[in-house]
Amino acid sequence: MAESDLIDRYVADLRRQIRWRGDVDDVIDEVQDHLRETADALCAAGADEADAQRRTLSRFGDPDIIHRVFSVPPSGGVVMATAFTRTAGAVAVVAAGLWVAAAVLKWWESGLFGPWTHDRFVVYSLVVAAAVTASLVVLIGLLARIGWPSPTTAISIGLAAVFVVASFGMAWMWPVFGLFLGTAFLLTTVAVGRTIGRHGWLQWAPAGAFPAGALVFVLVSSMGWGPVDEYGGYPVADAAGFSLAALGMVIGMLDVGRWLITERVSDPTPIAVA
Amino acid sequence: MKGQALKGHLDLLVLAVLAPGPLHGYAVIEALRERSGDAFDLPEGTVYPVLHRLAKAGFTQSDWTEVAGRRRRIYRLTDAGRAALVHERSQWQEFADAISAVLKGAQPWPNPT
Repeated sequence: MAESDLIDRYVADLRRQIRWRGDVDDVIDEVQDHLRETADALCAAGADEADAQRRTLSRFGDPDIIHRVFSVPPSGGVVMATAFTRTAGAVAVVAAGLWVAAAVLKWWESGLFGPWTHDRFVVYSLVVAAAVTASLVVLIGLLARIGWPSPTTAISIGLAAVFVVASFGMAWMWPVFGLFLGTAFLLTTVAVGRTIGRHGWLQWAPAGAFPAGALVFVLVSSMGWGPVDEYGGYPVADAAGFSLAALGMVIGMLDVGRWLITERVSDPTPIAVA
Repeated sequence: MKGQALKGHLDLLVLAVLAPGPLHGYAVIEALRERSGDAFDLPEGTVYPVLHRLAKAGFTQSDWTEVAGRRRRIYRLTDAGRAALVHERSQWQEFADAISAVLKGAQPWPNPT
């Protein structure tokens, strides 16, 4: 009986790998019909059932190849884990570390612990730029993972890129530009859910991080907590809001990184289809 | 013949085996094998995305039936598919003729005479 489950297991595995396809039931029914008909023909030719199933699956193709060819949706994108998406996962872990560093540096350059200096601001800005850039790479990895959906890909990358550029000189405007990054991750996360059905609270963290941080910044500023700097701003509100945003990014990056790193990779090398 | 050698030609071959009449995926693959004299050695599963792509392009249509308790998809050529087959066959013939003409004039080197 165990051998008779070979085809069932193969089909169940394929269903799991292409569950994001809208026509998954039709594809699975078609594959199942093919495999059963092949096995029946081999049995009729004299093979025992176990051997017939093994030969059937061998003829159908290496599971990695079959996964690849069925991972190309009608839109043409390749919806699968690749070496690139795994690399993006590793970058996500680096991004998490950079966001921690950025939060620490935010307090350091805020003027709350020693005088505010331009040099401190430059160091902070560079780390923020690195964190945002790394997050953009992660965003691109997510979009690659779901087959570059249009127009989400262009809009999301464009929005995140605005923050990358702005962070080099205007990192102090994070409550504004952070919303761009949050929107980019919101659009991408929605697309991930629709395309491959990945759902979980943590994956929304990058989308909500900067809106939440900006909200805290506005609320604390409006309450006038802490000292006032020479520009009339509230360093406590600034640092607290940014730290909350950075914490959200850390949680989100680690969640995305863990997912992308642990997925089985099968790059779309040339295959035997036209 | 390995699958790589078929790359770029599989659409035409699938259209050709569907030309005589409707077939399901298994029968398409069997027809490819038989008509090529077992020369085409490619994973059977790779033919299905081709069938799906041809359907998406409007070159085939499919209907579902039930056989031995299983759902089975039957493909048939559309008018657009027949037109594409005629065009692609013509293109292939021109290409094959050109290759043949070049090979026909080839002489071994150095010339043994």
